[in-house]
Amino acid sequence: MITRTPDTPKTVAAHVAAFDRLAASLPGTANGALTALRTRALARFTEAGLPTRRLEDWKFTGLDALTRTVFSPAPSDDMPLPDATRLDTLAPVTDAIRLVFINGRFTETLSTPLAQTGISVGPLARALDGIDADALSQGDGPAHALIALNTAFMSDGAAIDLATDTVLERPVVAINLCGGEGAAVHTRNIIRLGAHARATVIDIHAGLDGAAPAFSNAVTDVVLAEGAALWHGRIAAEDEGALHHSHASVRIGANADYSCFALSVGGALTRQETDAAFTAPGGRVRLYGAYLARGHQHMDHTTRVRHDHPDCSTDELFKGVMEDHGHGVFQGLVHVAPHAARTNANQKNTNLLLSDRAVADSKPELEILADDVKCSHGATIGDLDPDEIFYLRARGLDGDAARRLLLGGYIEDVITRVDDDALAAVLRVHAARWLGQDAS
Amino acid sequence: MANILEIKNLHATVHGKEILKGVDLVLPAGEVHAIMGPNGSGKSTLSYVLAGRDGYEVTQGEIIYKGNDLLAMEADERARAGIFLAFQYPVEIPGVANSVFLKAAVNAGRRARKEPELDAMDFLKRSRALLKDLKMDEKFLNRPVNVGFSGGEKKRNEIFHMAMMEPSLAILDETDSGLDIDALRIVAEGVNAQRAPDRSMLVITHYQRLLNYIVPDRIHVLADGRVVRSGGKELALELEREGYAGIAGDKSAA
Repeated sequence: MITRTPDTPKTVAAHVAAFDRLAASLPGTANGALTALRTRALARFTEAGLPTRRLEDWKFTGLDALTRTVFSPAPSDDMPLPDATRLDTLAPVTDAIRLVFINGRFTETLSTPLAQTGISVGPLARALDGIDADALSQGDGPAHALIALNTAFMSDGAAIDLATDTVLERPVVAINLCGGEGAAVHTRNIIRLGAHARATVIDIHAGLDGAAPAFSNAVTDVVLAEGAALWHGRIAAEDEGALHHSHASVRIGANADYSCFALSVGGALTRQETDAAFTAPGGRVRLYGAYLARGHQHMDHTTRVRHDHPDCSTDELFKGVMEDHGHGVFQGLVHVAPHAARTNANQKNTNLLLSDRAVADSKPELEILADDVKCSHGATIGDLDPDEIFYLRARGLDGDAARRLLLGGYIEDVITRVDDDALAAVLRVHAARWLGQDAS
Repeated sequence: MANILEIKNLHATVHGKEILKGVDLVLPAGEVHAIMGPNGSGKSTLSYVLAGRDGYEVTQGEIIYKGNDLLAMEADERARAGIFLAFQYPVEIPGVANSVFLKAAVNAGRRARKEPELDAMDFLKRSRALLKDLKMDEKFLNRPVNVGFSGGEKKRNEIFHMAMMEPSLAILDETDSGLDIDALRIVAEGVNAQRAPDRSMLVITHYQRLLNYIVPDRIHVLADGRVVRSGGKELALELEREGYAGIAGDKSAA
């Protein structure tokens, strides 16, 4: 693999020009603190430039594709609206609160009427004029240019703000469709759960039929107060050729529970990041995921969990399937601070390489500075088990049927950990669709 | 009565090492034959060669199944043609529900035989009845194949699969290994319930014990890759008395 620096100056200049052109029309201009935040974020992006492979975090994933096309925030008005069937196909959930965003802008006609969603669930843009800008900066690390870019340009997204003890019975499904030549879409979701509140949020990203593939750069900020519990589904089912980056920045309060499943089944380049930190003792994080790559797809799942408090647990399982020239990346860091006693952390990554040209990079990592902890990690890269294939064939399944059943089982083995039925069902549909396309 | 299986001068190697050194065996339709022998005699190799496992290379001889050249068929073709192997070590398949796998297997066979496929209702009805006979909980249908099953549950699940698949030739590879006496009795009853004029069985076992419950029509003793003795069910008792050493040494009597 050749390491070279993307043509950052040109890309940065294009984004700066776009900002100068569009800043006045971005939502929340009445909020001075937000405008200042956007300006600072753009400056940080300008200074850092796009991440390159020289950064440890980006060793396995290059962003050259972002420099080959000049991307700027996409128009949404002239985009053809998807029909209801397409939305149902992407998110077959009855009784969901559905929020549809076309190129990063809320599309009311396709969404659940806001009169029904209650004040706690809705599009972020309408709240930006009055929002506390500090709430939008938690994910901004010093060197993460793509998050900074999102902050500068954020257009809209799902805002979920539950009061203490509120249990959202209906899952929130945010469907994000984007497309258009050179279109960049910067979605921002905010999920805040008050003490003991519970919710399921499913964030689905896909392409707009008939439009050129776009660049989707989504950031989700999650704050869980004491005893709150969130199931967070993230599905990247972008069109062929699309670029997808998503980042979830999560703060977990005392005894709170953050569970996430990140599924990648589309896009030319997909990177889903999770950055979770415990802000009090007793919290639990479960991070699961699957990445299914074929053709020349590149899929990267990068997770970081910081244990800065005692009695917290992390359980991670990510499974990759790569065929053709597919390239899968898993990077997982669990950091256990010296005083984070009785931390329990498991981290596992498995990869199936179904062709000689497929690639898997796996970097599970534990940084343990405390003594009294239980931590384990492991990674495997291999092919389907010949014993399993023979067992199925000896019962009459032909080689192709046996392989399909085993692949389905391999993925199901991680989906089955999702104890939210609606989310598990959506994940199964997307995984099955990927498997079904595998007619070669 | 026609022979379902004829094995003639079968030689087979595993990783280049010759394990079967000229096996001859004839199994008529509807009969149950036991194959006994000490460890390393080639019993499991014979079962894998019959099932068509990769890596088991036949270097000489032939196997005729229902009048056809078995060695020309792939493993899955053999299964669809009615050969069933109950594995000594059933394989765990995480993420694949037992019912999903079994229904796919049953219907692959039925399609090949040009019989109508079982729909979900028929499948469930038959499964429930057979599971009851085998004293297995219905939850075994929804659990991933063999994952978390005890040794006895795995073996019962193999017999359950066998009953659902209605094979012409069932090969039971050390089905008794790892079973306590109660589980052994349940498994044996399950097997006996499936004896039929159009179904033959090869029961491979190290111990005579199983044959108290599944009484074979004939017993063949395999030693060092050959059948060294064949006889009626009383041969099992002779083996019990004298051990394999005495029998295997007595090759002239074969």
